[in-house]
Amino acid sequence: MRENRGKAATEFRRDLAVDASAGTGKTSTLVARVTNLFLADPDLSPDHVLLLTFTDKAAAEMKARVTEGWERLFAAAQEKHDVDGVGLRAAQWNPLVRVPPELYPDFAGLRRRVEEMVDAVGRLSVTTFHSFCARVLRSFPAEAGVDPLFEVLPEGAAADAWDAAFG
Amino acid sequence: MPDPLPTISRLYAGPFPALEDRLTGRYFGRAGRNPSLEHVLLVPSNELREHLLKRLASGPCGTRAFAGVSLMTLYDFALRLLKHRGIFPVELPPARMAAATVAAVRESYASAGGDFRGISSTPGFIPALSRTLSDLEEGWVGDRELAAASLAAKGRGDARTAARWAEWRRLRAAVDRKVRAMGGMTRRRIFQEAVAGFEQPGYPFRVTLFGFYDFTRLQWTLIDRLLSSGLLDEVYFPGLFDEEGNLRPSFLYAARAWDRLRVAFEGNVEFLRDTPSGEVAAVRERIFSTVPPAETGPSPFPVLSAPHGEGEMRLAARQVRSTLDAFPGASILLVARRVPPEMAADWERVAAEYGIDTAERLDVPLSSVPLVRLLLRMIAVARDDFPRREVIDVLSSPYRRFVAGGGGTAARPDLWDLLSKELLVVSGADWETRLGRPRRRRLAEGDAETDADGRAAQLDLLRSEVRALRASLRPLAEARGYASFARAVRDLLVREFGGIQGDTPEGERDRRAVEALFAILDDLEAIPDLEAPWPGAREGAEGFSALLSAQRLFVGSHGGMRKPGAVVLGDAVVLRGVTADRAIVLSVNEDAVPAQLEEDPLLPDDDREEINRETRQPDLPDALTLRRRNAAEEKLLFALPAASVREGIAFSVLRADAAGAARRPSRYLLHLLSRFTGPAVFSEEWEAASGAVAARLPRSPFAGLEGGGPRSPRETALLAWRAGEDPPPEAAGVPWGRVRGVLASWAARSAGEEIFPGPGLRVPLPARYSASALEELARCPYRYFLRSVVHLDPPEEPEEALSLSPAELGEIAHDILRRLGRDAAAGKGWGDVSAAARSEVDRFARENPTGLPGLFRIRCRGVERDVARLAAWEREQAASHPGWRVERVEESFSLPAAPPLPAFRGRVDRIDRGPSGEARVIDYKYRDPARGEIPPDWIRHGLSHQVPVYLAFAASLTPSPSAVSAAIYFLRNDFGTEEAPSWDEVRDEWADALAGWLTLPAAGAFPPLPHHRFTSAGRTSPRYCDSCPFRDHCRVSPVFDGSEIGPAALAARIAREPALRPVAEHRPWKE
Repeated sequence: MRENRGKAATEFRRDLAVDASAGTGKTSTLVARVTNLFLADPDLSPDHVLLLTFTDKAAAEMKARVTEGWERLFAAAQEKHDVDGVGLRAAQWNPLVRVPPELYPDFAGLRRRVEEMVDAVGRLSVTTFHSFCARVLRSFPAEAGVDPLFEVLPEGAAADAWDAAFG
Repeated sequence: MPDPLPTISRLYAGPFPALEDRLTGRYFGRAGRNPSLEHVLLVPSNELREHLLKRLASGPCGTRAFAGVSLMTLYDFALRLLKHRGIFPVELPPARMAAATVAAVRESYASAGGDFRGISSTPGFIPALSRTLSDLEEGWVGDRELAAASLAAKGRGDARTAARWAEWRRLRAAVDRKVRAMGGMTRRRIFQEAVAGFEQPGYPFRVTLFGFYDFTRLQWTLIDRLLSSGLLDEVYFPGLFDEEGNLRPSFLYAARAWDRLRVAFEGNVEFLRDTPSGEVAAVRERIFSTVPPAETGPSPFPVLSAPHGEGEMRLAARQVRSTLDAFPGASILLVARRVPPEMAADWERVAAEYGIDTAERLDVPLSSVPLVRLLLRMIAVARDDFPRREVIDVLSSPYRRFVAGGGGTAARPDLWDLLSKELLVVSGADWETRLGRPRRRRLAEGDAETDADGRAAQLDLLRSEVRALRASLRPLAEARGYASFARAVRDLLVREFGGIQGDTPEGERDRRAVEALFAILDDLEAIPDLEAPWPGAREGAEGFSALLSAQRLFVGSHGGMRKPGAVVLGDAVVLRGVTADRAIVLSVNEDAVPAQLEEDPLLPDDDREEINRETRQPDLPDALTLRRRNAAEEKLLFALPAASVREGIAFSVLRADAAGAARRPSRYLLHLLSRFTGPAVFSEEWEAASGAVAARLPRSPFAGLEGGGPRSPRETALLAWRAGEDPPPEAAGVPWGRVRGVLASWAARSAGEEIFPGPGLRVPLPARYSASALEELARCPYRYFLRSVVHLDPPEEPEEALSLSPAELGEIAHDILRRLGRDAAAGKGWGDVSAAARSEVDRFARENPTGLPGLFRIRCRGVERDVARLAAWEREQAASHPGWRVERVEESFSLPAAPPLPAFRGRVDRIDRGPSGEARVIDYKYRDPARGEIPPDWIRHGLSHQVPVYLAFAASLTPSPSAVSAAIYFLRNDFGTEEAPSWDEVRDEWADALAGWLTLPAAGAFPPLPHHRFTSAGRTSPRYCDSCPFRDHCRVSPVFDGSEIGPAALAARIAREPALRPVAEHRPWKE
């Protein structure tokens, strides 16, 4: 179980499906995977990562967990003076987080990277399927052939429109 | 005595209060000395202009301080420069500008294709295009720049992007041409002209710049010319600086403007300082600081925790009231990242309740004025072919005159809604066909009363009003040009609109709205058909609606921000530079701070970056701003209030929105708190970790009355009423007549009377009880009420529909077992599990979503293995216990009431019969046997009902069994059985406990609180509450309250709600 969680948090070269019961740590594994991904690829931009979930509540929760983790990592990088020290502190927050020392021979490089991550956490897309699809349509209205300022009808109005069309 | 004029230009830098002190102390006294010279003070917004005028008027010189000084925005200054040269620039009014854009777009796509051609006639295209073109103007992006971008794209072989830039070039040029043809000037042209003739004689002036920390490229062209011509005397640059004169991290967004100005002033910089309080100084120093706190401690500034938007205004009003009571002359700002109209309206209402003077809004959206809303709704009604609900809205508006006349019958729009619904009116011709249709059935006795309401007369009236509405809206659809459309709208307004009040603020607002509407119609009427052909009825009407929706109505002539002592509410951008003693920063929540700005749909950030790359010059700002990558600007906006006040700053956080969905604090605020208290604030327990929450308003309105803090007269009266006193008849702001019904129901509740069902609502109790419903009653009476009595069935989360839930796995297992069990009952033995599983799994997959196919198959194989284990065990049992047989499978039953037991209904998985006629009920559970089942005590206390109900059923079987027993078979992962207690052992105690539980619904008491919330206070809350489908509406849900569950809070709530006490104390098994 622990080994599988470790793999899920660190193996980036293949697609993974994690299936586990509620409360077993899927979200913390995902948060660790995202954190490890950014630490393992110093050139990775938050614009290129997407975290999708079903509900607004789950998306907010996930975003809050990532923000919390990265801020803790940031605090550790400010307080500690070596990669191992930061790694140990990060593991206290989430034991699946790995700070790869080989990528950061210069400690200042790690500090810089963590600072970049914290600064850009707002650009990390943690969203619901509906919001993501709406954003895609908004970003490419010409390609999708939709009104560039379209709005999603509230449920009541959508039901009325349905009734009017098919009722 | 003012200081002499400086001999050299100077750049002043510092926080806003320090800049303002220097400006008001030195600048204005000197400015009027030379009457031949105009001193122009340029500010970034009208709000800052108003604020400075108020500050000056309250100074020792009063309004004399303005002598010789002109306060204006950069754009107004550009216009003034042109006017002094005899050029009277005309920026086209919005109506004509929109018509010019529509005409340009149609012409452009009539002769050529393009990416946007397919969407160019959608309602949102013209507003979106106008915004983008305006950005191009501000960024000085014209023909040359777009041609260069197109060429660059072609050069790298990207033909599609090159074509898109060429399309932009065509569109921009077409709009430019149209605007000129209609006698207007673009904003860019106005600045261009202003800069071109800059040093012509005839207008001697000196310029001072106050409060700018960034410039668009268009603005910078003018500033640059002022700098190079030596006409720029002083610049007051706002910012937070460290001891070495470096901008603090919170102001890094302003770094480029700062660098440009510092270079321009050749280091002639004076840093100004103010003397902020300790808390403001600490916030200024640590906001967005990367340095962790040397020592952690509580946050020095307060955080207000509000249950929702309206509560936030109440909490803010209390803070403001207590500050003003302690410091009567204090100035206070309320700042939010965004101030939607409803927030401003809430504030004005709540502030009035607390006797707080507010600075009225300078303007409001024109479409927020009711009569404009009605006009927009009418246009939408005509466009959408008269949909029922919208038509009723229009007809029932108090702003519309009844045209048809009722022949003495008073209009009853409430009945119109009902009648049109009953007669199945949807839209269009239904109004004629269905309203005119005679009622088929004969009047029943009960209809006599409704006929007394005059239904027939109301139906006639409704018919004639709809006819009249159609007639009055027809000219809009038949208009053949802007002029005829404008005339049709004007006629409509004159003929059908009414209801403007007399000398009330609303009346004044309505009059201004009508004036604004008529001005827009005048502009429409003046649109030349040749230059801007009418786009057609539908597009024309949609364009007009979009135009009205984008306009703002000036309403600020009653003092506004100049009113002395008024508390100002505004968004962070609008209030830049407005100073005060204290500020409360509102709605500091994630998703609001930083603001989530959508990218420009037509010119997204990637395209903008491309233009910026092509046009970048070291001495100029970037041409185009990026919407999504705006972190630096958002940080600055969050820090602005701290840079604008001296005495104190507080932040306010919403715990939930109006619907009860939990909201989180902004990460910016958490970051700031962490600079004092350490990173522990980045968690759910941020309030406790920071120790910053100084005021917390509960969600319950009555609970909100308790605790300290000033109360409004309304709250005082309400509190007195709660204490048993009669409300004072003169209590200000308390509409007692209207709220009497609400208070009466609260009084009944306080006296311990039932809450559900409400007055007049008869809810029939179930005739028969199922075991699961009874268990729900014991677990949570509120949930039982909603699900089993009211029959609410909330939809499942989509997540559950895409992956198999344990219940669905159980369903598959039961289906397989049903098939196998029937074979066994027919004497065929426990047959082929694989075949049964294949058949049932296929059926399930046909009828249900299964989630990922691979995962579904893996899960189903697991179920098959589990069932096969049971089948093997059954075969062994058949060999070792001859004479036993499966008698019934999935048997539904219904038992009549046998007092004290009620009537039951249910279904058993299986009944076996023994060789001597014994009956044995078997219940399958697709669960791990290690988890065990219900202890006998639960049955005796009336908390578990399944087994005893099954036993009662088994005992009733025919032929009468010699003995009854029950067992639970656990299937998942391993196989296990558990023997239920015998019927004789539990029957009497269970029957007593159940009778006790049933007294609750029989008495009509359905408490809105689950029992276990009380029993679990101090321990972890039950898991079923977390997954309860009704948790959003449950009064003790953290979602409802917007807070965490706390045992003390629950205990306090019981004390506040006397009606809950009997429920909390209801423990049948203890009696």
